[in-house]
Amino acid sequence: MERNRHDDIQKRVEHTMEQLGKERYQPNPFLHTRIKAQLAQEPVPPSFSLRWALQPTLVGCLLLLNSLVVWNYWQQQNTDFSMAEEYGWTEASAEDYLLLPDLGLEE
Amino acid sequence: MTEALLIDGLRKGDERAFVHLVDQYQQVVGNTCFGFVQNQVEAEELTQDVFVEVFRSIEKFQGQSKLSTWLYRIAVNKSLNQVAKRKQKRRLQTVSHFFGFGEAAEAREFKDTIHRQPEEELEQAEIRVALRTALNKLPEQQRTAFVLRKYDDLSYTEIARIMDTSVAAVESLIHRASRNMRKKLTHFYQQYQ
Repeated sequence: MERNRHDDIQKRVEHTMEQLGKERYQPNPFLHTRIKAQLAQEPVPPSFSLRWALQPTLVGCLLLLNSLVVWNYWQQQNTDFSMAEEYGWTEASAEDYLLLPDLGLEE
Repeated sequence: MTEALLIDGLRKGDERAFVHLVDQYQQVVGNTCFGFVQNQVEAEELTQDVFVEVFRSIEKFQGQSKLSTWLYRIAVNKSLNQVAKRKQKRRLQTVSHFFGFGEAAEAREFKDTIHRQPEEELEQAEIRVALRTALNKLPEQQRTAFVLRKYDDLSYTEIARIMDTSVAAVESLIHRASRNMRKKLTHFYQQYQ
């Protein structure tokens, strides 16, 4: 029974292998028209020159944005420091920390 | 029309060159695509895409190889991409089958074919599904060499030129493809008989 099944499968495999390449593409006489329609319909993908022009512009924009962020940060740091100097916040005094002098009152 | 004149005409957008190219190469390009996808409708769509790409990129064709070699390369790449897309779609279907939605894609395709075809076409349809399943399981290089040999009747030298490899490598690829096809088909019939 098992032997018969095996033989049957092998026959089908060989028959299928013989069919390889027998069925071919059937040409379409209207293919020209379809190709022309597709060419007219689809937008042409951007050419390499346009892509090459767009890439540096994009990189330039990113660099500019980065520079602006750094510049902004640096400006803010500088302003904070000037204000501290102006109001005398750069040096802490004993008063600031409420440190009273030792009067020798403790036993 | 010589090949040089044909290429020149295509570059100039000459209508006659366009018609001549499609008439001369539709069958060979279509056979290659059909070999990969085993489906007339898909093969026709792919053939159309191949010619559209040829017209769009004729400026890039350097003339270092024959025009037919270039056409075969485009047809092979497009067909392999199409099969890869189909595989991806199937993977998603298999995942949904795993979670209990619907049947496995391969089993469903086989059952659909059996149920939809008239009696006399049944055998041919079954063979088509078996071949498609087995071919799609071959490694890309083996599949390409095998399809070009069986569906376009190309010589080993021509296949080697298209695949940019040696004749010995093509011989080996076809030999291994043939052996693997028998294994895959045996597995297919064991599963669905």
